Amino acid sequence: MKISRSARVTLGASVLALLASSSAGFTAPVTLRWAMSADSQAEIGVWQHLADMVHAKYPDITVTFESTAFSDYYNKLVTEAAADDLPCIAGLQAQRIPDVGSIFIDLSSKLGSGLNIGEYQSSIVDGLKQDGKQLAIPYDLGPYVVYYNKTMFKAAGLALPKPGWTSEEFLADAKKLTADGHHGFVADGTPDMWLPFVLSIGGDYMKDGAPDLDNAKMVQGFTWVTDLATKEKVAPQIPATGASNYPADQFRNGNAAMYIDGPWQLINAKQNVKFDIGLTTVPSFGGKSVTTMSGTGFGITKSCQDPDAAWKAISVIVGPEGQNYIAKAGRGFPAYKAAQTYWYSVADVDGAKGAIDTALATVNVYKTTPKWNRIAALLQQYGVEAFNGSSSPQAVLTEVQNQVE
Amino acid sequence: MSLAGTMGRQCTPILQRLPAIASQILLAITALIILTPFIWMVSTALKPSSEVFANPPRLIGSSIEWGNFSKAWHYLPFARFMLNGLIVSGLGTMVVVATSASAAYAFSRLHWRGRDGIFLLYLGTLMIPQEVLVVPMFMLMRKLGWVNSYQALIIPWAFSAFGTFLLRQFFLTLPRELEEAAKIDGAGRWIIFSRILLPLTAPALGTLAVFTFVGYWNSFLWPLLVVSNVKMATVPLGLNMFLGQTGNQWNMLMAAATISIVPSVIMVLCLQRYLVSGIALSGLGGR
Amino acid sequence: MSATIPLTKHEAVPGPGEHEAAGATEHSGTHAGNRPKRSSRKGGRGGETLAALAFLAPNLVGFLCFTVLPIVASLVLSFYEWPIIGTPVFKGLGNFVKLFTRDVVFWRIVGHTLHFVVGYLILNLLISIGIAVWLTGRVPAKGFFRFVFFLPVLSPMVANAVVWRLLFAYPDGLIVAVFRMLTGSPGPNWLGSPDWSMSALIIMSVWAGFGYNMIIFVAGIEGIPKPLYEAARLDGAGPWVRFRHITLPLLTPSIFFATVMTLISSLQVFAQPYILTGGGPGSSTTTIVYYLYQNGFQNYEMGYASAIAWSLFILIMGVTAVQFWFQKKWVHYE
Repeated sequence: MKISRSARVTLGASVLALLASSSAGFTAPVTLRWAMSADSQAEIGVWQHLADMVHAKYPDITVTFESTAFSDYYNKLVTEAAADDLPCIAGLQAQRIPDVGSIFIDLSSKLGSGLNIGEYQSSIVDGLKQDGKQLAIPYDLGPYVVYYNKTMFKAAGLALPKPGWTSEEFLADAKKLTADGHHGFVADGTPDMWLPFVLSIGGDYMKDGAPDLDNAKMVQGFTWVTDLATKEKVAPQIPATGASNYPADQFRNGNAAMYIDGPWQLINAKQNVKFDIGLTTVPSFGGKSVTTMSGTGFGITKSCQDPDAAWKAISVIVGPEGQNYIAKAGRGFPAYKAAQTYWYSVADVDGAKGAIDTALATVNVYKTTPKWNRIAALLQQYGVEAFNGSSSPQAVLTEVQNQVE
Repeated sequence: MSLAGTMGRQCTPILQRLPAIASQILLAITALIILTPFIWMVSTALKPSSEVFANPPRLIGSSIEWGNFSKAWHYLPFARFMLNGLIVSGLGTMVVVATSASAAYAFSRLHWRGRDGIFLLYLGTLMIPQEVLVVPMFMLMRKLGWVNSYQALIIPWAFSAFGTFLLRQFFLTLPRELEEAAKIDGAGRWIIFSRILLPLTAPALGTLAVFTFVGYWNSFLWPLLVVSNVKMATVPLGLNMFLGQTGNQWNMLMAAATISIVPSVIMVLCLQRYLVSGIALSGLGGR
Repeated sequence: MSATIPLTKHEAVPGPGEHEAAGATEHSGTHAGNRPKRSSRKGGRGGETLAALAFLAPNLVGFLCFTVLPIVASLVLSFYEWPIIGTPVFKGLGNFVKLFTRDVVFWRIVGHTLHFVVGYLILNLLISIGIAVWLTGRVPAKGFFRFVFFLPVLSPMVANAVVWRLLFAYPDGLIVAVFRMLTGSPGPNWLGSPDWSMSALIIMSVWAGFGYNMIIFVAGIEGIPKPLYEAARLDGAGPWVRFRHITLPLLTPSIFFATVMTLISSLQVFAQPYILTGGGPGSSTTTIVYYLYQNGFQNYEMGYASAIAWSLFILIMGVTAVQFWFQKKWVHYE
């Protein structure tokens, strides 16, 4: 198959080259496939606009955008890899690198031209590396922060939480916010929602590149979070869910006053809730608050026939203009530092800048192990029992650890 | 119905009809219970997004948002998704019905070496879960150059062991005498098949058509893998896009789901007479 | 799921003409002794092979390419360690050995699947037979009710899951409210407790799926000759006696086939846990095919996933064979 395709491409290219040679000096026009997740017409529009920007700058390059819903994007990418049908350019989230990093080429040698990598948030630039290879150039990033319902805080007569607040303050507020069937906080077993607590008490979830889920600090941190539901009763019992972010739904419906999520949710959330949203850092333990972060970039896949053209396209897509555009469209918190102010002004949420800047200062690049995707799914699946008290946090972590060994 | 029976029923005192009335009421209640999830679906579709998970739940939100339907419709190119769905389900149904009918004829009415063996092979394939076939199938599509095409959505599931099995059973129940008579009149097999057997099989074809249509319409995993261009997407892919990275849009998902049921409902209404009474033709009462 | 159920009816109620005409083909898998064929047909057999090929070809070619070929591919895969991205390594029976002896959750998941199958099968049959009997009696607006009861079949699974999550919500969902009204206590935390999550999954699945079997049974009952009922009525038989001694025995072939097909489809249950519960809490709603999906599409181990698929295939074959074995004890053929 490879042969016939490359043959076809070669044939096509030589025909085009023949045609082009008559008008001397122009490179042959190329069409590049670009895959990324998109969940709405508006989002597809954003990516399409960036694809058009590429064509405007390099008329020889046409980028065709292929979208998949976020929840299914990696399944699809992997299936395409298996069938040798990868797009040329593809989105890559930092946590997925151990699983799918091998289908991307190293961009290190290309970094000299087109864009200045030093102008991008270094934590996510590093996050998109594997064994020293730069697999993608980031377009967005986000540290996990606490979202809070300002309206509920005010109604309870509480001062709004400041970045750097402590776990004691957090717990006291959560208790006061829990009343009338509403809860102060909501979380589920998804690791993004509680790993910051583990990191803040000095724990780690990996050891020598392998998952180490049931070490003492992990158990301590996870227990602290699940106790909010089982002992302190400031967080709700949770259902087992399939395709759903239960905590986000509860927060947006005003049933819970706080939860943990990334800044990419902010602009959309703000438009869909009936209260004011605030952001703050994950509470600190003994003066220390460490959060994880996520981010996504674009890389070139190994099946790409024309990596040079693909690099040109990427340098436009995540270039300064592209990043300003992304920020103004509110699609993501841009990795290009100069564009971040646009995002803050579009988001227009008090405290967002303080919370995100503070979090970014202490952020722990979200390193992952192979099959992290599976680990996260298992933690969500088994975590329900720890939040509902039908199993202990320790037992849940041990169970998942056993399954992934 | 004998005359005595009819008379007897007309004279039934009201007391004796109580069980029938009770049964009517109970049936209506059962129907209401079955409909409850749909009622909830529509009510969710009409709520503001901040009230979908309101505590305690309410049937009707603080405002009725008819706009959700048009918002959902424009949130994604749903008109295009519906059109794709209609093309895929419509063509797919036609191919399934046609190929299943002719294969079923061969399996039921003709005699040839290896028939029972191949038929068993057909039945056996029903027992393999589809989820494991999608990756080899995707590779096949890639080799054929069919990724992102209608044929990739239609063809892989168009040679249905189900349909062949269903229609074979149906043909078996039709009396041989019909054919024998036609043969004496000099009719060929094609005439017998298309002019005599097929019309008698209409109810089973209708049933197969409804099930096949709904199967194609709601199919998710396969279109997900084989479609990467939003222009080729079908309705379930669109529905899943409401469960996005930037938060789930439950009310719009429900609105879109409500709209998406409409074609299947129309299909069932059109073919209902086959669905509910037609199959009986094949049974003992059909003669 | 969708297309499996409707197959059942026709083998179930063989028309009288066929006993003579096509006895040899009926239940070809189970009845060893074929009846002698009529000589007149024997004579035409040579010519029929060609004709049969012509009629069969459009389906058979597609069937071989798009069903048999991928199935064979999956069997081959099951002998490999096959990370979707990367180089496959031949493992012989390694995947199967690991699955049966070292996989810490597999047998638990087989248990959950059987739990689902038994609960789903029984509820589905009771409800679909019950409603079918009801709807074939003297009821006004029959067509309307049949349509209503068939409606859940048409609803997309992702929408079902959301609605049922709302209905099962604890402690504020509709179902909990009804429980509280009837019993005074809120009842179980359906989706949050590993003891009840499977029941919730079964309830939703029965709601979404009983319409298929209902259609089969409505058709089966309507196929029972009316004079039988009239005669029984004249003898003074009440509704229960008529059901017990006429409807039920004459419906057993339909029930048998509905059971076989429902078992096959429920052993393959996937979409419901995928969308409603994500297999949780714990592994309580993880079924074999959902586990297969997790291995294939979360772990990217297609070889292992294929080994799971083929193990399931063997289980389904076994269960189906047992059913055919026992059918003589209770299925009433004319």
